[in-house]
Order: sequence, then structure tokens, then C-alpha cells
Amino acid sequence: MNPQPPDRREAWEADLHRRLKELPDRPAPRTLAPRVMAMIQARAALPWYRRTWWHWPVLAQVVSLLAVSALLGMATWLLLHLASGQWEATVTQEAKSVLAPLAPLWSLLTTLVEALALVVKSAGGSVLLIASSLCLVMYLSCVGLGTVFYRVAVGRRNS
Amino acid sequence: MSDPLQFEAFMRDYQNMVFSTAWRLIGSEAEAEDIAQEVFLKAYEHFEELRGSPTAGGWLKTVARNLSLNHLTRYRARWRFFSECEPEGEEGEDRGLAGTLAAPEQSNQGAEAADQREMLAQALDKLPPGQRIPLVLYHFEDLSYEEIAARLGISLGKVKTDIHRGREALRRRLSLNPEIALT
Repeated sequence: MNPQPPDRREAWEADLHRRLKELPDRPAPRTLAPRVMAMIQARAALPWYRRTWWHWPVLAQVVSLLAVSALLGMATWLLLHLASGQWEATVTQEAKSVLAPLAPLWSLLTTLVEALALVVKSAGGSVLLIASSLCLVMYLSCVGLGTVFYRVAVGRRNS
Repeated sequence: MSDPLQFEAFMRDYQNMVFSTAWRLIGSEAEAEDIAQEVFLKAYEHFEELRGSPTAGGWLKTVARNLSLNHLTRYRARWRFFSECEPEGEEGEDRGLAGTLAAPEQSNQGAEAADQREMLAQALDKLPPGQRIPLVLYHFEDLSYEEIAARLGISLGKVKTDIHRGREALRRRLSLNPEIALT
């Protein structure tokens, strides 16, 4: 393509701009207006508590704000008391009793992790390197296949 | 007349403009319809202010543009990656449209103005997203290069390059048909 002189190119760009601006709007699909009206009706039919907070009745907004403030205040009070250490022993004991049924699972998990660490340590860095390379190759293959499928799909759509 | 009926009339006045704004940026009819729906649902929430306002069209266009750009940003990695995989040569860019433009019966008969506009619109649609989006923002949305760079989060140089490439691609495609070749 031969380069154009600057003034000719500017004129061409201005002409292109004018022609693009003159393009008429595309007609919207016939389904658009019915879809929007159906959504509006569906939203109007929702009870107030299922709408966004901004569309709640004023009274409900005030009550919800008060409730949230009360919850936040309570949480702050609890945190302050826990930090002072008065409830620490009780909470730790409670947590231990609640988590007691999970103790065998924790023990199994710890054993597995230790075994895995031992395997990695004995196998050395080469095994890790090979495994990482394998993962990388698999990932790149997926990306490559995705790109090929996309190109094929786009090619078919455009043909 | 109740609000929903008034709103429906309002929507019918602007639906083509909103839909076109979204379609030109997104390049997909189904997704553009989704965006247009979202625009009108927002408009319904502000209908009291928009009703009878002389700036309603501008408001709708801006919302349509912003929602479309947000949508594109969400899927940005995908369209950018794949658009950069698009072939750059003439052969690839003219795929699909070349046959239409070079069809001898069309060239010989002389295209009507409406056909010329349709061909220009088709040529624009066929541009890869990386070129079409900045070109649309510049020519249809009247944004400056700087604004486009800021909105798309790319460098000023890349905006200029993409728009230049887009124009060149349009020129190559349209020059295939002497009836609509730009001067």
C-alpha cells in the first residue's frame, strides 16, 4: 500500500469520519422492548425485602440501619472483652471441645503432609522440576488447543 | 397513561440508538441486546428525571457506552489475546467480506447509497476488536485519543496505532469496490 501525502490522508480521514457518522442506527431486535418491560414487571412484583436496599421502604431502611449498628456495637464490645483476657480460657476450652471430633482427621492430614514432605526430600529437586515442567506443558497445550478451536470456530462463522 | 406505558414509548424512541452504540462496541447482537436491556432498566429507575429531558439521549448513550466498555473490560484478556492472534495480512482481514465487495455484478451495477452504508457498516463489523473498539470510540463517541487511552487502559501510542490500522483495514476493504472507495 503506497503511503499517502499528509493532506490527502487528512482529507481521506475526514471523509471516513463523515461517512461513519452518517451510518444509520441499527434497528434494535423486536424482543428488546418486551424483554425490558417483562423485567420491569417482574421487579415490581417482587416483595420489598427481595429488592435492593435502596428500594426498600424508608421505615425498613431505618430499622435495618439500627439493627446493623447494634450488631456492630455488640461485636466491638465482645472483641474488647476477649482482648482483655477475661473470656480467653473459656473460649479456648469451648473451641477444643467443639473441635474434638475433628482430631483424627487433623492427625491423618498431618501424617499425609509429613509423608509427602519425606517423599519430596528423598526424591530430590529433579523430580520436582520434571513434575513442574509436565504441568507447564499440559497448561500450554490447553492454551494452544483453545486458540486452535477458537480460530476454527471464528473461521467457520466468518466463512 | 401509566408510567410503564410512557416508559415503553420512551424506550421505543431511543432503542435503536442504544442498541447501535452497544453493538458497534461489542460486535455481538445478543450481548448488545443484553447491554441495551441493562441500560433501559437503569433508565427506568431514573425515568422521573429523564422524562421530557432534552439530555435523555445523551444520558442513554453515555450509559450504553460505559456499560459496553465495562463488559469489554470484564472479558478484556480474552478479546485482546485472540484479537492479537488475528491475521494481519490483507488475505485474513478481507476474509468473508472480500467476496461480497468484489462481486462483479455489484461493482458493475453501481451500489445505491444504502448499500454503500451497509458495506461500510459490515467492513467496520469485520475489524478485529482491538482495532474496532478504539475506532468506534473515536469516530462515533467523539472521544479524544487521550480519553480512549485512559478508558481502555492502554498507551496513547497504541491507541493511535490501532486506530490507524483500523482505518487502513477499512480503506483496503472498501477500495475493493470502486463504487464505494473513499476519495
